Amino acid sequence: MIVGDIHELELFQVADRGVPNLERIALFVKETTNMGQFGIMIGYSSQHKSALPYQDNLFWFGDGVVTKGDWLILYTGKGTPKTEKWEPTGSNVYTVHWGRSSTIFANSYIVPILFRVDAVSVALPPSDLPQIGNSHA
Amino acid sequence: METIPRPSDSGSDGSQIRNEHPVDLIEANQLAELPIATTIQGIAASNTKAFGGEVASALVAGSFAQLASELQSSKTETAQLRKRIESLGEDLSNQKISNAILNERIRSSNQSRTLKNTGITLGTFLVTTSIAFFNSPTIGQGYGYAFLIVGAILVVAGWYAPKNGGEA
Repeated sequence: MIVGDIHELELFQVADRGVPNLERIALFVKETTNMGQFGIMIGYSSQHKSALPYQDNLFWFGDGVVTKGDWLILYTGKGTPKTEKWEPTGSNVYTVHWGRSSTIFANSYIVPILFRVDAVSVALPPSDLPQIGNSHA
Repeated sequence: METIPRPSDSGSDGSQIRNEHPVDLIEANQLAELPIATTIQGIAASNTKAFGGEVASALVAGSFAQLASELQSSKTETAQLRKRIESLGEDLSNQKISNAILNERIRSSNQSRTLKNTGITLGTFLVTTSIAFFNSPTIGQGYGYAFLIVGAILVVAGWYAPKNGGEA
């Protein structure tokens, strides 16, 4: 599948690959954008700038506007989100956490894939009927 | 390339552990086998004369689908073998390191044993000689005590000197 490039964000190489609690993915904001349309997947890369995603490995950043020059640091472990100023440029550094109990990037073939959502479809919720198996003894 | 900032407080709770083998990562199955096979099937379905008639179209499309399926299976098998090779390579590397450590310990142990045996032999000789000095009227007992103490130290050191060992 051939898709367009992402111009709003720049994805950097994984820092401290395989190091618990330090392994992180860095993103630089090149254009002011809403992170709600972006996410990170994990993939297997055997070719330059190309990767096949693994099953059930997706992180969604959630809605939030970031401005040009900001940094997003996604730690693969668990933790509490933080925001601080990046002294050299005065921009914000947002720290978020994936919540994985173990490190992800065990070898250099495993890479992060930044993706942008262009369209979604959500299934309708079920009708408001009595649900089977919800009774309490 | 810009310098990636390192937050002063990462917010991490410190509970993450190292994952040596990413066994929980499973490659996603691709929906289509290969684009060329899909294209051929599409042409065969929409324009049967493109390949010389209905029978020929079905045959060409079927052949491509078969080849594409076999190619996909081979790719999957290759990927699995590649992973297996990586895993075995890591195991081999670990075993080599362990082997090198054990070899070094064996060499060290041999040297240590030789040294201890020499110490016990020399110590025994000195203790024996000291007894002769004690009995001798011409040589002072000071030499006897000196030989006895040094000899005893060498013997005890030879017996109780720590051995090299432990897990590799």
